[in-house]
Amino acid sequence: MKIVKFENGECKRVRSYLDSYLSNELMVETNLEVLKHLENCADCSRELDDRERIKTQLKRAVLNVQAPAALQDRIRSDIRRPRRLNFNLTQSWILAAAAVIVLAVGLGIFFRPGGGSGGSNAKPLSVIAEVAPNDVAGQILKVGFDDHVFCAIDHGMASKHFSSEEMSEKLGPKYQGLVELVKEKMPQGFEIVVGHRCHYKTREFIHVIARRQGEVVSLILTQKIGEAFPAESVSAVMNAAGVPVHEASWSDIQVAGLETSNYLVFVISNETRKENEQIASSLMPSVSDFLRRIEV
Amino acid sequence: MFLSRNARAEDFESAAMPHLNDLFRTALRVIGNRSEAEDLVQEAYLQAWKSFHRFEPGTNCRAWLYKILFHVIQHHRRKWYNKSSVRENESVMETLAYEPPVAHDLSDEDVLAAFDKIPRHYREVVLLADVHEFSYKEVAETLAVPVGTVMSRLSRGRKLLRQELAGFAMNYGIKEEDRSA
Repeated sequence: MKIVKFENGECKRVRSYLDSYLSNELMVETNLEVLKHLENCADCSRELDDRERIKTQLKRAVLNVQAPAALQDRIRSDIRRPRRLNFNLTQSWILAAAAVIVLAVGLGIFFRPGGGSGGSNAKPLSVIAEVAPNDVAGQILKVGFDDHVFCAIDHGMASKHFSSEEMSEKLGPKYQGLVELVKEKMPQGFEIVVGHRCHYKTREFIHVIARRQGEVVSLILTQKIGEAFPAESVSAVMNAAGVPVHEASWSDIQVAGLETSNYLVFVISNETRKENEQIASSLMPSVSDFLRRIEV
Repeated sequence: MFLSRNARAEDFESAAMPHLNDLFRTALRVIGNRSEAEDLVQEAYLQAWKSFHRFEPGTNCRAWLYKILFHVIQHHRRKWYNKSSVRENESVMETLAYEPPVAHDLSDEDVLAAFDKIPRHYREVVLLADVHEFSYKEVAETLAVPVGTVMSRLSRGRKLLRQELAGFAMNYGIKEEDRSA
């Protein structure tokens, strides 16, 4: 074992620079000072050689490992895989939804979610997600999902960055305070990047987008056009949290939906189901209070 | 922005896939388990693909991917260990001026075994700075820590690695006298 006694003050100072010297992070003048010292000091010069050798040995050892070929294939297939319908429907949901349809038809109630244009979504980047015609909750949740995909993803709104003034101007006085409310209720680290009104399939949406690195969360509000969630489809988890929220997911996008007297409220994200539920259960009660105030 | 899905996938692959080996090596050394490292790298690529529309061509794709990878790793740790990693005593090595000898002919296995023994915080910084040659500023951004923290962790990480390697040197019978011979 060697205990270096820094009797020479210059050695001591130069050694304190060696880490940054090794990382090529020294200022030019300091770098020159170190180089000059190393020329005349065998001890420090040997110390630097040792450190450089360890760095080289480590680099070589780490870089000699290769990623398995199968990993590349897995990633490629993730990227290339067409997003298929992956709607989480339980048998009881289908039955419940079917029962409500029968009831609705019997009572002569008719509505067309999404503004009623129907048909397949022709937008090039829209995710193709279909819902069975008799799945009422699914049809309603897809209203929010479609706007999120159309606006936040396909039109790249999730990559925008509006100032508070811009958001306030775009949302108008009626929705004053909504952005602040979302900001307060989102998990730590999320930033509100967009607050605006958008249109999809003749319907108007109030859309707030929050972002945290690769995570994108949309809060979407739209006025009801006769829709009503079947009570049976309320998510057990969300109901337990005291909020009657309905859920679905298409491919890797999670949707949670809630209705107030006049509005449909959606929380949509690329989070896991559990995380989307957490975000929704944090946002929904306040948003629903907010809407109740403007509905009065 | 309005390219077809296939054209976007091709753009993504040509920008991101060349970094796969480096990302895997990093994840493997940080996590220490091959199959977990594979899953995390796959997840990082999936996240990157999802937010690729926000990636600006011409900017540093490698740094962007590393940021996502470390975000995924942090998330994974929070999820499975339900705690932030134990803060190592960062003041322990403050005044250490012990510079043990290190063997010249250590195998890659020996070096990696020694490296894997040092605490994760230090491994991360040493990997990014010494192996992948990121600047202090880039390391700080990737790990979301201040530059000063990067500098102190790098310094201590290197010392700890050296101590571990010296353990091997002892086993090989290298003594201090041999160095000055």
